[in-house]
Amino acid sequence: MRWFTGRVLLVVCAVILAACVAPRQASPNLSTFAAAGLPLRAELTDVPFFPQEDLYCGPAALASALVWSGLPVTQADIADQVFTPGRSGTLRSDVLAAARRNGRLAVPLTSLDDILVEIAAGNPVIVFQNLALDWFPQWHFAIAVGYDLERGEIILRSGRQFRRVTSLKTFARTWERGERWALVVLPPGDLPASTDQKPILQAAAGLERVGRNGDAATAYTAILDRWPDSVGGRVGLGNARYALGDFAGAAAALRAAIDGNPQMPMLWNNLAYALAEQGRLDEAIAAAEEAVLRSGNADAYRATLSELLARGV
Amino acid sequence: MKRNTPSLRALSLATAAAIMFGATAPMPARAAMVSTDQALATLAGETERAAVISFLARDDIRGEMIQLGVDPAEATERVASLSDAEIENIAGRIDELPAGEGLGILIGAAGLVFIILLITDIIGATNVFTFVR
Repeated sequence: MRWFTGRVLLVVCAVILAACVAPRQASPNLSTFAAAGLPLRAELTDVPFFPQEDLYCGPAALASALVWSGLPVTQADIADQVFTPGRSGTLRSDVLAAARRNGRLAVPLTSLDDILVEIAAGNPVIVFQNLALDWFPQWHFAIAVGYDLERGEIILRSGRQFRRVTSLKTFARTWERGERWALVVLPPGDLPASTDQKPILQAAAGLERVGRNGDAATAYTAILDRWPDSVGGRVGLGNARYALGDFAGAAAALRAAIDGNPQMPMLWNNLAYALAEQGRLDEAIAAAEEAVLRSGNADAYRATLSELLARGV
Repeated sequence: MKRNTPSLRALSLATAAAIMFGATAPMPARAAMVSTDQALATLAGETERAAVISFLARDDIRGEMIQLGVDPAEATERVASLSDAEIENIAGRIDELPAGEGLGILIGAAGLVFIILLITDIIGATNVFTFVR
């Protein structure tokens, strides 16, 4: 009788479970990937492997991506930058921050398609999974290095496994349960293949924020190679060059932006500073006046103008 | 357009924050340069984030990180690396946001939970055990 009850209990559990873990997103449609022109399989065999030390899946995954991108780091170096002892783990925001601090262009991806597109383009992708269940989570970072659409598989460097092969459908569920977080980490002159312009611009701005202005300028130049009309790219290039002390270069980038967008006061405002730093105060004041005029007399731009006028006294 | 331009007060506070956190603090004379972050927000038609709120949130997050055992100088750098939008996402949630740890779940997964995870692994819903394909 006890044996019977046990069995019934197990079956009931299994049924409840199957309901609990039903995927919230439709399973990936593998034929769409192939139709979209993705190669049927790709694997980046040269992505280094760091077998994770206890609790260090975050440092291991980021170290792997950074070494692949050309930086000689160790798992322990990276752990100092991303590990949070009181959480016995690594927060996603710290991985993003650390990639930037190491001078890397860190671009979040938001779809499974984009992850595969990056791998096909030769870029490994750091992924965040909940390997277990919503009510019993096992949060985990891994690095995706390959896939095979015919076999429906994704290949990961994960934990202590050099080549963990997981069904794409299972991966889609664990990644969905991990809140769809993925990050491609690149040398600043390389751009991801899959994503649109905005997150790449934000990634470059992230390099400025951590004082990596040379790397930021490199990234903005690459962005302008791909999107020659990018105003954000030109503003960023102007600001990065300004921070590097290349005021003539900053002015050139801002003037190029103004050519297509003379109505934007912020471009004139920043140009004014770049000119002033070159000692071209009259031109700087003229640019600051443009900013005031075109902004409808905004306080911030009037402050720029008064400051420049005061320098001339 | 006007709503997108930072007020002087907000700018000076943001500068103070940058200096306090020892980040790449702009010289005070340069504070009126429009940063790339601000420019991108303006280009995207987003409203200006309140610098005061961001400043306070950064301070809170840094404090939480230190409480969780992160070295104070290190916490400063981590916080300074994030944009205002990224700060808003994690503000007040450092002790509850998912933290990746990977191995080690078996210690916690006793009895019934172990069996449940084994079943969900077999049906491909979870991916806990390396011996299940």
